[in-house]
Amino acid sequence: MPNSRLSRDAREDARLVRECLGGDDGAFEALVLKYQDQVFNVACRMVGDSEAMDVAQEAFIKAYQGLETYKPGMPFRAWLLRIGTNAAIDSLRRRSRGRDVPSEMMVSAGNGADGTTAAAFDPPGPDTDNPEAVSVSNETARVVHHALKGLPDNYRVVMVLHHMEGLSYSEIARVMGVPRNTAKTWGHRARGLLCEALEGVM
Amino acid sequence: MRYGREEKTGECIRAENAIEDLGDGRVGRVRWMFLRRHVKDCPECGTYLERMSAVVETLSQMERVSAPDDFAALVMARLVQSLLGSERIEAREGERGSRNLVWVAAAGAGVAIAVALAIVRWVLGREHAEEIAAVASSA
Repeated sequence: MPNSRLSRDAREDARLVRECLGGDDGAFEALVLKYQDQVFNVACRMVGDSEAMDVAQEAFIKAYQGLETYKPGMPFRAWLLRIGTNAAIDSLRRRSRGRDVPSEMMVSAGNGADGTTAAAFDPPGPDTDNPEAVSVSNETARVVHHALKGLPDNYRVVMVLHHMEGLSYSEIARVMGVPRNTAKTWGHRARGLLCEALEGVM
Repeated sequence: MRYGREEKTGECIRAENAIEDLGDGRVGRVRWMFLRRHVKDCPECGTYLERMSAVVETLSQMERVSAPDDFAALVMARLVQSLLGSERIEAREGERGSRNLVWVAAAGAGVAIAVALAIVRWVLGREHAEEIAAVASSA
């Protein structure tokens, strides 16, 4: 994304935030419309379809309530995604407390242990005409999807933000409130675990 | 290297780092050429590269889930509800506050009356004592 676009986005966000703080709720609705897909997607990948709606809505409500604490020096998208990922992680913790299972334990076995449905992660369609290759490709995708759901929360956030939302490690570090190298290490470990999950498949 | 083999050669370590950076989407041409050369002779690194490529490809191909069409409207409705809720709480707290104020005022008035009565009684008592003393001295 070119820098000029980024700065235009940042300026527009800052203007909308100012208008919202001035009492214009329409400005906040514009921010919701602008970022709803990103927040909803992250929520969906983190907590699954069934809870994503609630988590994403909660993220925007919290953002509205905390708008006065927002510092324009930080990109609004990063600030909002931070609220969204925290809301998702809170939701997962509430869920795991209910089951007496720490979320870190819900690892890779591939049986949907976190309660999310496999339908939330539709495998990509076949991109080859070779039936054997199609089968391997779908199986690989299925295993990766299951392993992704079983990753520790912080690793999964990095995977979703980096590979699906296209955030750099610097941006992810801002979202997660950790140093850039920590975010990068989590990314490497996460992919390492996903590669290990493919043992036996390829 | 990563899977199964206990001893890593320097080349395998270099290849492993390159594969991990490949996962980040940033491997230069020179490292990529080295990696391609290395995996021809090293099946373990080849397997790791194959798995990493599959992981990255799968993650990149996952479709973004869009918010429902009425999402923004629902957020704004929920926002209004929560604002109304907090206004109601504020109003309730305000009512409770004014009720407390009435009690404090009443208690204050009670104390003031009691103090006034005590003073009056003390003054009257003193005057009465002076009168008795005056009568006694005249007698």
